[in-house]
Amino acid sequence: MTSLNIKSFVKRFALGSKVRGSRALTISIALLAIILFFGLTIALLTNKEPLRTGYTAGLTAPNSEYPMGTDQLGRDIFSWTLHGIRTALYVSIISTSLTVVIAVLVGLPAGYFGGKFDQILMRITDFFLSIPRFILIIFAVIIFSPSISNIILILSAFSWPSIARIVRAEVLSTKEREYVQAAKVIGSNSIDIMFSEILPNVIPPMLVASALQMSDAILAEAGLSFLGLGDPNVPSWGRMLAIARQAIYVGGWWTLLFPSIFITATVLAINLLADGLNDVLNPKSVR
Amino acid sequence: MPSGTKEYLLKRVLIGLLMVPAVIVFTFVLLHMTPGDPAVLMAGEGASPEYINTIRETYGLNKPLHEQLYIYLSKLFTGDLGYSFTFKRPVLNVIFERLPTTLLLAGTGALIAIGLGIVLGVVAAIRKDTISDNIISSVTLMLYSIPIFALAQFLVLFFVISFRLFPLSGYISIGVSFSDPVAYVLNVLWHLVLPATSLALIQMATYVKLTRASMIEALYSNYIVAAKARGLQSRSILFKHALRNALLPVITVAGIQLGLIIGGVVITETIFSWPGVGRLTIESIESRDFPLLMGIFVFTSVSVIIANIVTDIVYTFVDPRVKLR
Repeated sequence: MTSLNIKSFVKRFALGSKVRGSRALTISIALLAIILFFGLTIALLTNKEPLRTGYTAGLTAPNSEYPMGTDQLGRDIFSWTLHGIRTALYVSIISTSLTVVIAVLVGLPAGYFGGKFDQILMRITDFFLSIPRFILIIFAVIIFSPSISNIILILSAFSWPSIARIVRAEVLSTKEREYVQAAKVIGSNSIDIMFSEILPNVIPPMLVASALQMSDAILAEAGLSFLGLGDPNVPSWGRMLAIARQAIYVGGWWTLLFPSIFITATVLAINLLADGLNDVLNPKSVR
Repeated sequence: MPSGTKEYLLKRVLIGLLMVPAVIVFTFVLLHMTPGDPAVLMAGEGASPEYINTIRETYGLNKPLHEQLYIYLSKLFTGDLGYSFTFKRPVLNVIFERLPTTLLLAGTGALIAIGLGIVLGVVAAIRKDTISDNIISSVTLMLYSIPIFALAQFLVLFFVISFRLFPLSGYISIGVSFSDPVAYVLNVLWHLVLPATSLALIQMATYVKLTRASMIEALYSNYIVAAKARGLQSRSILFKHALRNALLPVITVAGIQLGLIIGGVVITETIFSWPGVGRLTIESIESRDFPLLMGIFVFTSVSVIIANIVTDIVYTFVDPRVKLR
């Protein structure tokens, strides 16, 4: 095969991944727009409270008053599902932001200065990557009581190492570049170089990792709530799906269907966002 | 074996084994960060003051922290994971009793996921950018996004409640005993279908994606191009040359997946009342059996650490190009 042909292959890949990436981004943004619309207009769509029992005498199929039906205790599924959007986004956005801040504060100096600090960071990440995360989260939630803010803190505390590793790797490949060396030569201080010269390069891969971190946080919170380890005062999809476990045996399929659609759509949208970002920002990767 | 491999392996095993005391110290620190008295936590709810005192004595909880840590470490290193007050037996015994059923479930799930994932990944790579590729990629992404506690319940809704094809829960039907081995095995397999499928479907996407990407990379690499130029049959190129190299990353990922899938195992076992370690975790939470929960955490962590070491060692032998650090 001639070099020309190889070039055209490379081109096709780059193009193909861009097209794929932008298609993923389009679907993702459309889905997110719908989800956000529901999440923001709850007050206009329903006057029911999400966790209040006794709207109906028992499990009721979807009807005009309760568009998604009610559960065994007469709670309105529609209102709870929509409030679930807020919970999921709240948990994922806050915990991911925290995770990213810690990851940057640790990963930047570790990559930039290297040495002992870097060694310690790598061992800590090794540690967190080699223990079963979900069991650790369960364990910590039991110890610290499952309030929503504790859950967010625990998720962040156990998630930053893998993103810090990404930051570090990116810093390592950036710090030898000419413009960083130039900044050093003209006497900029290390903090300036790290934040204004290196950090911008770290952002693209971090965006992808943060998106994945968001969907991970949504699934973790829902998983905890499903197991009865969530915050009982917060409307979570996980707890709805725990309620569905009994309801589906007496015909209450709606208790399973609606929260499942919303959690899957949200996680799917964010995963597509990560995929799309990855393809667009990193077109060399083979797709 | 290239030179340096031995040193690399030795270093890998040592660093891996150092993680074990790290896990134990970490558990100890977490336990002591509780707002309450760790002795009360470890004795369980409604324990008598005498029992709490016994616990305090055995774990030396009235001694200075460094002595406590020493006692705790030496207990764990002799295999003493504590005493479960709900089962009235040592924690390690309780875990070992439940381990085979979990291994059966998780192993079957992983095998289905890897097998199916590789096949679909290869198909998607060969038919890159066609309709079949798009369908495979979309469906697997969809499965990747469905939480297992939703997916498993849909399987229950269709196959247990609507069509009554599979049993509701458990590991074996009442009345089936080992005296008829064939019936026993078939009965267990019948119970295994739905939980194993749930676990397999959510893991599969990773293998499909990985196989597809590495297959595409392999198919357009120079050595495949050279093989084509030499006029080798495309089938032999595909299976003998491309697939073999494309499968290497699958080994690494299978190792990493093990740690990630444990959460899925806990949830699957809960939904299908599968009597394994995952269900045991939830039982320990419900009865606030703290020594048991802690024991499960230490046990699963150590298992994952060992599995990761084994994966790395296998990888060194399978792929001679592996970087020796």
